[in-house]
Amino acid sequence: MKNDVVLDVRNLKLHFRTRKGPVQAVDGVSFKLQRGRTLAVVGESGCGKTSLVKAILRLLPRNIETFSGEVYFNGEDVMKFSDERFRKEIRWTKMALVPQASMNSLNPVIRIEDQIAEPLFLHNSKLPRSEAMKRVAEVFQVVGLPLDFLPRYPFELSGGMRQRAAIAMALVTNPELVVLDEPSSALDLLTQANLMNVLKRIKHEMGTTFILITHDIGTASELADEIAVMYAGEMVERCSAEYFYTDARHPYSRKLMASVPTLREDKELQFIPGQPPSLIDPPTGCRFAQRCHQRFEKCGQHPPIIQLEHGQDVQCWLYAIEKGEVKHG
Amino acid sequence: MASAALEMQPTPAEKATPILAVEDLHTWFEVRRFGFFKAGDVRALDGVTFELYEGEALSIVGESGCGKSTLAKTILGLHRPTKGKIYFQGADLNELDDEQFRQYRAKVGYIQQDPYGALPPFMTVDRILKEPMIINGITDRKEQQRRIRQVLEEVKLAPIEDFLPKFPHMLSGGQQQRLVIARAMILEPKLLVADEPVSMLDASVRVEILQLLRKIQYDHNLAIIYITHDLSTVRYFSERIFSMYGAKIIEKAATQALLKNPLHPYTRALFEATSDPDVNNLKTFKEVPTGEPPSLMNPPSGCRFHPRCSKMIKGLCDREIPPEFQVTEDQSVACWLYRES
Repeated sequence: MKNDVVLDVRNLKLHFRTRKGPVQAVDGVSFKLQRGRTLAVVGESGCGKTSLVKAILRLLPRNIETFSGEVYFNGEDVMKFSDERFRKEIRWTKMALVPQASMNSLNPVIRIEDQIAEPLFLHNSKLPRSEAMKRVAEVFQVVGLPLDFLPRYPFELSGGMRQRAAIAMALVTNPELVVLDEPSSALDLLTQANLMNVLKRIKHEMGTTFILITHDIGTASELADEIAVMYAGEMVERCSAEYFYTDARHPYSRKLMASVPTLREDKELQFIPGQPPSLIDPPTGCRFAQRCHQRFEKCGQHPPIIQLEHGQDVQCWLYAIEKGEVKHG
Repeated sequence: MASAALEMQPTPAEKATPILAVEDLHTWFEVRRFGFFKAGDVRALDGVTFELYEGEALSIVGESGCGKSTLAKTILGLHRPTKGKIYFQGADLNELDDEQFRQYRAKVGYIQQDPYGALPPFMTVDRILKEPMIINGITDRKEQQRRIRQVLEEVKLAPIEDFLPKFPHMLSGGQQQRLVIARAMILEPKLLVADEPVSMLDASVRVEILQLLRKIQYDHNLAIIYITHDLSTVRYFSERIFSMYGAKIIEKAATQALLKNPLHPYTRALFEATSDPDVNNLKTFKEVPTGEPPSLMNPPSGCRFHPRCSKMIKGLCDREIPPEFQVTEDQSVACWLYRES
């Protein structure tokens, strides 16, 4: 079973340097992801979802204060790789990213087929063009684009098609892990549903491992086997989708679920009063405590990650008390 | 919630005076080639008719490019209609002079989609709220103070004194949207047009803003046109829903009726495509029509949805434009499938 783990992240930290002090965008995140599974990372804007994947893929800006932790990819700690080795061996050959708003990041003066083939040439400059084009045509079909769009320019494609082209670009090197950062949020409802169908098919047929970053819990349920909830730079809950949607444990996850309007059932909607804390100077205890209706004196200290039944990990004191594991955090 | 929505249904007596009546409204935008030769028209709004009553919330759903924002802007007087009429409290907008038109605009509030983009970054909250009053001749200091206090209390931006000297960038997304609502309310309008008021906000704030808007509507007996692409928020908001596709309204229904049984194949597709948080979604594929919305410069003949529709009737749907069929008392649809009813 252990070999099945594609990605094992341990205590990952990414702090940015700013004039006001370090911003703790990702602060001690750990999780494991098995091959062929999809992890959806959900949370409100500014909770560190995108920073988390940037840290995993090492797409970092210059103002880094702290970048530490371990990232095991197929059992190897890729954090120890030099930047050059990481670029050659890991990024895009084994881990690919579909960045946010990628449909608008295609180069307007280069044909779609050449853009999709680019990752192939970058990693193997001796690759014959005919072979590359064969591979491009393959992924084009995988994402459900008609082949006669290959030699066109990005402006000739609709938004949904450009998004598919961006996904094709990530899949072209046949990576083991694909990270999708808000793949569908800029798209129309029907286009979004079509895209989710495509991703679902890729997942079933090719067994690709996905990390899906989204703020939309409804859409996440289309693809996710596991859900991770992020709040203020920390992963406060991680569990299988089955249990998350029926029985989320962290007070924040519960509130978040209660705030999502549903179409098919009539439920009383709730909202979360207050705002997330500043990541420059977050509270020392539980970061959600200020907005939590179940807070008690223990919440002034940093909560440990508690493992519950069904493999649910929750960072909350409530469950530490329940399990009788209260010790000094 | 369901019972509350039903109680708010206007009684027949109230129905006599619509606050807003739109009749066969067309808004076309001319497209020019080389800035000189006319290349055609984008028919952004192509024959829309409806009535809106006092205290009623109406939702308009549809995808981008279906004309829902054009409808909002035409009602607000930001676009001139090419053809058709808009009556506000019985008066034809085309026949108003400039002064009367200014008074009309003061009675209609506008809530924009992107709150940050809608607020001038160089003005303080105080100034932003005073601006509409200065334009509309409310110059009395005391009256200005009273109104500012009242609207800020209503949108729950408290304590008021802390907010007045702030600039928009100092507010969070939710607070900015409250300020936009406050600004729309400051002239005490009769009708609010909210164009995707919550689509830029986080889920946890979204509900708060919707509930706030609903409360303001009840308290002032306002009519609201709520424009959205998200069917799931509509349930919590309105009495009636219109579904738009290709610059036309294709289905009109009471909210509960539409959510129980959407009739038009396009409304059904929208319904089907909306994901509820449900773990069973993982195992099923969605049945959604492929293809793209039609070009509004050169729309398809007959029903505009027919090229994507799985239930298309050959020789009918692709030739004749479907009229509005009244299927039940509170649901009508422009689709040939219901021609027998």
